Amino acid sequence: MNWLLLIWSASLGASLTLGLMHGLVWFRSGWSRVAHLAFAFAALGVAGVAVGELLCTDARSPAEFGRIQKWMHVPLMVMVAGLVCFISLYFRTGRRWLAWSTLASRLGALVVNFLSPVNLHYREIGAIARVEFFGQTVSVADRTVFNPWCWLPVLSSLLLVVFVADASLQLWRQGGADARRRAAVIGLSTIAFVMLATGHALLVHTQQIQSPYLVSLFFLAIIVALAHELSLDVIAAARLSKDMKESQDQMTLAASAARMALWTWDVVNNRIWMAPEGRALFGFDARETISLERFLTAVHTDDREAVRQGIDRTLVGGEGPARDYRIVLPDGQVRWISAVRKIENDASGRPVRMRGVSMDTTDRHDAEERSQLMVEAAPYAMVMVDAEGHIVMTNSQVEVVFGFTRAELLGKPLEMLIPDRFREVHADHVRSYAASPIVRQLGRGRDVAGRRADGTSFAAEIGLSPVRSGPQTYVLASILDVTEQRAAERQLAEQRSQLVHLARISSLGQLSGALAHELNQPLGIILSNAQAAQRLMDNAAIDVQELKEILADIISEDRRAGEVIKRLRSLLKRGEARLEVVSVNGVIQDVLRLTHSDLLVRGVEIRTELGDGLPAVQGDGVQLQQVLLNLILNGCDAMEALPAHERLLRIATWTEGMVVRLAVTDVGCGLPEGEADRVFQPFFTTKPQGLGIGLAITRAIVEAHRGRLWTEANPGAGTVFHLELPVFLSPAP
Amino acid sequence: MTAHSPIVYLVDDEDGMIRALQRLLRAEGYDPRGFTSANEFLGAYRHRPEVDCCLILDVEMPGWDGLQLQERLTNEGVLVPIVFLSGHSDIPISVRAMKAGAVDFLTKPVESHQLLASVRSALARCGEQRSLSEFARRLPLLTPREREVLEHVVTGKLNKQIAGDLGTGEQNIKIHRGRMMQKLRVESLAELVRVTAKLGIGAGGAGHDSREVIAGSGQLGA
Repeated sequence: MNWLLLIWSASLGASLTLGLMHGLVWFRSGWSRVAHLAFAFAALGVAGVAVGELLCTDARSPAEFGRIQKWMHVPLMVMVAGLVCFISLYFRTGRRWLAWSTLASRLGALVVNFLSPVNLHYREIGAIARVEFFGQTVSVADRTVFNPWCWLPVLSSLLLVVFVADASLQLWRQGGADARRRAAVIGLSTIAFVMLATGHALLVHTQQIQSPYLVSLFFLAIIVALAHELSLDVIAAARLSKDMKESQDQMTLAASAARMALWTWDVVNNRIWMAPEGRALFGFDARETISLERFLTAVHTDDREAVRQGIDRTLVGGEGPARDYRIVLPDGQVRWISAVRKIENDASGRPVRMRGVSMDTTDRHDAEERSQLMVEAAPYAMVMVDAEGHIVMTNSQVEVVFGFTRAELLGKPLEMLIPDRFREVHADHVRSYAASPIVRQLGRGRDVAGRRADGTSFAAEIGLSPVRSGPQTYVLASILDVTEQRAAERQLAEQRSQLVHLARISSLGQLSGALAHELNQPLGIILSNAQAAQRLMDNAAIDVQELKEILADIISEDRRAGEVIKRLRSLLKRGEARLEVVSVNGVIQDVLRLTHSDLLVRGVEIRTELGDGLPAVQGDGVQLQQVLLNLILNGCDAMEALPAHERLLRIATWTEGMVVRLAVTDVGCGLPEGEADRVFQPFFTTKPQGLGIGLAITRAIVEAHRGRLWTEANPGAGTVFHLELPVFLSPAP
Repeated sequence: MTAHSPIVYLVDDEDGMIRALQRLLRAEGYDPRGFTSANEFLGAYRHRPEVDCCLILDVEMPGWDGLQLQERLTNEGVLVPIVFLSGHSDIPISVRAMKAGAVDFLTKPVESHQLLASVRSALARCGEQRSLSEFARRLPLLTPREREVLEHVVTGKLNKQIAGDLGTGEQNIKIHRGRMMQKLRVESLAELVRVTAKLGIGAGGAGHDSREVIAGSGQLGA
């Protein structure tokens, strides 16, 4: 049995099989697996070398031996080139110049080989010797002359070893268990077997030993080591593809659960692949072919152009989420779709396919639409402002109230809506609001001024709410044009002020007789005194002392008349309500002075019990005089039917907690049962000539002073009018 | 001002007013006496038949007011003539006052000549009242014949006619008439006619009227 033939044939077969296998892998997977092609060449080279070595063992003449050996350098060249390329491509390391030097020296050896008379190794082969090699008879070169060029392939081999050692070391240094194993297995086996092959060949060429060439066997070992590593890669790739399939399955499942459609558009062939769930989402038939045009027919006509433009943008590299669009299902249902698209280009940058995910967002759109409708339908202007004070949202009322269109406002600073003279104040408000953003309700917020597009300003009421959306904080302002309300309020206040004035005049009308008396008294005294003086002057002897007394009386009475007029004026004067610190007891004394004569005429006795050290209240002194005047006159009226000596009006003041209390008690006719509160209604009167506004006005004044006014029956007879006013607290310094 | 200066009473709740009026009245030679309330006045007033007097009365006062005081004085037969001086003119009140016999109703501020004119007429009324009551006091001194002559004289009849009516001689009538004039201290026929007309004598036998006048001059509070 020729075991030599067997070994070499097996080696040849193994090399060829491995080479063809990986050549096929390259052919199937394309240039991403170009390392397999290099491997295939290296393996083919080994196979070629193996054939040459087998033929050498059987060479009959020196010439045949030399020829075979010469031609063996071609597969050797292929083998080394394949190995160098493989290491470079597979490791992605190694110095380029070492690789090129290896290949160049090998190519040089090949050239020299074909120029040499016999071949690269021998200048001359004298004879063929048949020698015993492990029990087999093989042919070896004999009586040879060594060719010094033989050192060139040795150099090439050494360069190869250096190159591989360097590349392996670099890979090792990059780290990673996988890479290190690869560097160790491939690097060490290549270095070892290249050196063994080279050393053995050199011993044969220098006739130190007589042996057939064993290069192919050593290189087969290298090839096996490489193949081992490659096969691990193939196994890993297979596992990866299995994992990927699984994850794709999971993704499809998740997509269908989320009503998402995964799709891929083959741009070149205009075919859209879509999972069954996606087809269901868009209403496509399970087996129909979907082109871009077919896809667009599903899109709502209003959105079709926008979608087409969006796709065009993605085609030229636009990224990011596309605008939402509507589709119309075969049954006419309209759904909202959100999509994310991504383009893939080929090596030359041409778009090849587009991948994407489409999602049914109808529910979200409906909710958004509802909230948008709500905002739009709000009866006041709403403006949302971001942290920088820029307007990010408005509703249609903004256009009505401010006269700006939405487009004019979006993205602009809020200052656009504020009159110049308020901008500084506004900035302060913004700062203080930013410091403590809380909800300020409309109507309880502050009054501000707004600026319309035509530059006019208007009174506005504003409500504020902070809105947090993700990391951003917005402020939502609701604005109400209160120009008309404010005008109405002003008018109302004006009317009330007129009414108060009217009531005052009417009560003064009741007092007019007494007031005339009050004035006539001092005037009468003055006149009489003056005329008495005139007469005294006519006398021969002038009583100077008497004249002095007369003048003193005239002066004091004149002052008294002036006081009366002053009080009368202040009571008659109609002006803005003033806020001052008022003593209730002082008010009572003023009014009693003013009504002194009237009370005399009416025969009413006044008894006062005024509290000592009564705290002051805050208000309009004249208005409070009016209140007291009305209460006193009212009490007098109630006692008109009584005999003169029974007409008694008591006025008492005292403090009760944080309020000053006042009670005016008459012993008159009292109020009819159940009408205790009706007396405060306008135009309610029990008097024949009464207007019925006195007590209504009185209560209005009291309430404007944050006080209360009510009645109680006086035990026995008559009525008590209770008045309560909050104590004035001086503001903290 | 003498012991017989006419007295002017003043009732007003205002001290200043009383002082002013007192000065004015003193300058005119009257004897003014001021009171700040009706009660004070009532306590101080004494009837003095020998001196003319009148009352200047305020209307609005604490306690008794002017009208109430007037009413009380009338009820008690005190016929002091009253000039009202009110703080304000009020027609119903002034009508009441005048009906109740007031001499005048003035309002403050009052011109001095106006006030003094009223005071003068009030004092004149007082004097008249005084002379009437004097006359009435003397009437009972007449004999029945003299009384008859008086009643005939005041109707404007001549002595001869009276003598004819009474069935006596003209000379007798002359004597009766002279005595009658002397007893009644009347200077002239004109005065006699005026006084008797006031007393209602000779106008159809209303002689009892005179008794009221006499009673009216009685002392207050007696």
